[in-house]
Amino acid sequence: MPIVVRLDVVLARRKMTSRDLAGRIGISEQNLSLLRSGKVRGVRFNTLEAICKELDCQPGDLLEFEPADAD
Amino acid sequence: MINPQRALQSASRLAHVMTVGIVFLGCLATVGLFFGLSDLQAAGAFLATQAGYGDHGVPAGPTFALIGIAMVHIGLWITVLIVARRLFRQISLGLPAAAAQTARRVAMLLWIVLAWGILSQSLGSVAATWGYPEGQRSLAIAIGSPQISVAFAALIASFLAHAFALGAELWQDHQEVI
Repeated sequence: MPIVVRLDVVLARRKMTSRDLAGRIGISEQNLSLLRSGKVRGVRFNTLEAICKELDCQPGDLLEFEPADAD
Repeated sequence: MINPQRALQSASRLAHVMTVGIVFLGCLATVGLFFGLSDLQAAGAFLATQAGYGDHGVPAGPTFALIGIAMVHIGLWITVLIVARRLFRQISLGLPAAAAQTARRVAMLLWIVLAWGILSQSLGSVAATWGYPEGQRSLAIAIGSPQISVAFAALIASFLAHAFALGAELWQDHQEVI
């Protein structure tokens, strides 16, 4: 999928573990792990809002568009 | 978020209702078979009357045929209820994809019940009038309200099977959105 999730990078910058983030935004670690690995079909706006609020970032910091023929 | 608990509990209750239906039909078939075979004459008269023909002393052979037709009817309905119970169990366990497949099976079985209903009317008319004098025997094809009701049920079941398949896809989609 050309949409790449950069949650790992933002978490590392904020020095926060995914377990902490999952607990703070109220979703399961399993779901957050799926989101981090990009193995989801979509992200709800309220999930995105909660992540941005906790990590003090913009949606654009978390998601990136990489066209399939870029490489 | 969607909370499917109420639907799941209701499906579980319906599975129990199906079990009651299966037990009832099983008992009905056993009792019917027992009394039918123990008094063939009375069984023949009863079944011929139920088929819409009077009691003109149905011979043993056609009586067996009428009992067989009735048993196939009950057997088919028991099968429908068993598959329907499986459907409701799958719904109660939250397995929409499997439920969609089972719903298709229920619909197919209802179409078979409809076809057998029409065919059995013809076979039943021949068996019930077997003892009639020559020229008064009949071969009837009846399409009345019971057949129309089953056809309607089969049509709705087919539509529901499609809806289930679509619902299963939507549920999968819902699960994959975080």
